[in-house]
Amino acid sequence: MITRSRMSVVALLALAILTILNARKHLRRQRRNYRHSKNLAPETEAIQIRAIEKDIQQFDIKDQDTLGYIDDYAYDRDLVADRFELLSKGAGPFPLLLQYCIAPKALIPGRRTEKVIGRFIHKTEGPIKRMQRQGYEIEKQLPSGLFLFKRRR
Amino acid sequence: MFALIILLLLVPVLLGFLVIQSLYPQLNRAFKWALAPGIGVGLSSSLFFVSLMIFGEAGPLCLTLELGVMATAAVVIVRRAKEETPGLPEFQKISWSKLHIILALLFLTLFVLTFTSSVYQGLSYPHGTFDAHAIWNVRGKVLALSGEKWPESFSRGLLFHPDYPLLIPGANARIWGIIGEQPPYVPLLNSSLFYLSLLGVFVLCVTALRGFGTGMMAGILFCGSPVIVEVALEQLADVPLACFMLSTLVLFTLQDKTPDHSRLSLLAGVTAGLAAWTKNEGILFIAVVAFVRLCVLWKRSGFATVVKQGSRFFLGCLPFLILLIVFKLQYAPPNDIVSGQSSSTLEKITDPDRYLMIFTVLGRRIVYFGGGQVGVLLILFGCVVIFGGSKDWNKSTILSAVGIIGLMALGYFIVYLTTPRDLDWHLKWSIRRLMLQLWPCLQLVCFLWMKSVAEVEESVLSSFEKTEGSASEEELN
Repeated sequence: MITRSRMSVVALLALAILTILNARKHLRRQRRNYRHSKNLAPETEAIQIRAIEKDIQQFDIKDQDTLGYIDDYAYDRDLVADRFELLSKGAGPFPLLLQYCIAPKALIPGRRTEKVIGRFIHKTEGPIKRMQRQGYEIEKQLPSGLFLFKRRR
Repeated sequence: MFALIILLLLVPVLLGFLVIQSLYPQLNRAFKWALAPGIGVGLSSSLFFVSLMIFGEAGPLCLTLELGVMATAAVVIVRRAKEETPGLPEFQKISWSKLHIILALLFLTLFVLTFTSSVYQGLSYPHGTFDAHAIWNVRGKVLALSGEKWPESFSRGLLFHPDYPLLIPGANARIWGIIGEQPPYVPLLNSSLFYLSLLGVFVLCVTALRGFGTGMMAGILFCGSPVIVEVALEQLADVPLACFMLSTLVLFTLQDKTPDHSRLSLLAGVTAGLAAWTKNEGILFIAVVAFVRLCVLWKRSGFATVVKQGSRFFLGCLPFLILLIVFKLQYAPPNDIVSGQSSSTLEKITDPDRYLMIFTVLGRRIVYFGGGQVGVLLILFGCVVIFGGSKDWNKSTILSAVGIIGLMALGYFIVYLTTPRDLDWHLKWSIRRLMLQLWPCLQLVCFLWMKSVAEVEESVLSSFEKTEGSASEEELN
């Protein structure tokens, strides 16, 4: 006869097996994500990032009063649309790829963002139109493909 | 730089330990170290906000306040050094039976698996998920970089949910402000501290009260719920909130075991106050805890106990409530869910489709909750049904905890019912995190209520003896 106490031993065994299955599935998912995130920045993109760095060097990024930054590079690319949405709400340049990010400084009160660097990998027209609606116009396109916007007077 | 950051992370842990030691030296040392990261980071974040209000900008000045609190705590500890410190709750001596060894090895294996996947997650998403950079981390950066104009960030409508309390942004901004840079791994390390604190408090509490085997079993289920570590490393505020909520329940559990030690209620007040300083759900938590404890204590122990423990609890919450009130009244705009209520709220409450939608999503989430192959709620439920209730569970502890979890769930349900946002969207993006907030507390209640592993071992042995006895009787006949 199966008593409750024997069932408890079976339950303990089941607990162990099921939780290990859970942890194993999670580990596999995270490893897959890791491999995927590494593939997001292949060689060509690394070259492009270096070009961007070179372009950005011509600006004084410490001049926080005048410079902002927006890009659509994201670890999770679905976020791009949300971030443009933020821009159209007036949040100004918004941080994501933080190693290049000047954006938090543009959020600082009392500082007017006169110029914004835009890096639009996925879409171009939509973001530019949004920037224009925000009172910016394209000043020029930099060699790396970055857009330099300035505030319309 | 990395060494400096680690040092700056260790300061709050020491701060937490010293404060706990000064408030309640009788607590077992392992418990103190498990509670210290959560309480310490919470305290240092609160002190950072105070220093921001006093000195006007982030920087090393907040360390002065931290050192001041540590020195005060140290003086109290030295003065009380002669008092006896028995180390409550006492842990039973571990008997290394085969079952205990297997359970301990399983727990270790699961911890290693969890640690490995957390490393991968940290490398894949160093900035956390969208809510982390859109809400929590960007606010930390604004606090660290804005100088004396930081209050304007909350009033200019530039931030998402500017009314959210500041424990997590403050904890990150404190380090970013001191070192003058904003490396992305600071929030990751802070989140990891909260995860470890949560795990430590949970496993230690179950081990102390239900024995080593059950403690390991609890650890196995905790590490076998990948959703906890996943959300922790998403750098959101839900795991810190869960940590403070669980710590409060654990401290009340210990309080019920030692009713004379009302300083445990003081510590529980501190953790509940920090929960309110972490997320708006924490404010509901304080109200629910106060109400449930009042009802349960009044019925079981009388008015004098209510006053004694209640006043200590309130005293513990008070500093954080003051901080929260100052922030909400002085700096933060009104909460979007509260200010979004209108005459349509009544229509929403009477709309059966909304109930159906909430229960459908909840039902689906219950089955799959946990972030793994099998829903961990179902695993826990199965264990509870099969193990059955223990004989020696403390009625007021279980009643309090069930009441707190139930009312919190009801509160969340009402928020969903009346939300001014699109209900489908709101459920989709938050129900997993709200369930996570209550999950460690629910696990604790179940492990305190059901039979311990030692009890199961005993009953298995006795059932074998009975079977053997009846078999030998049959042979004799």
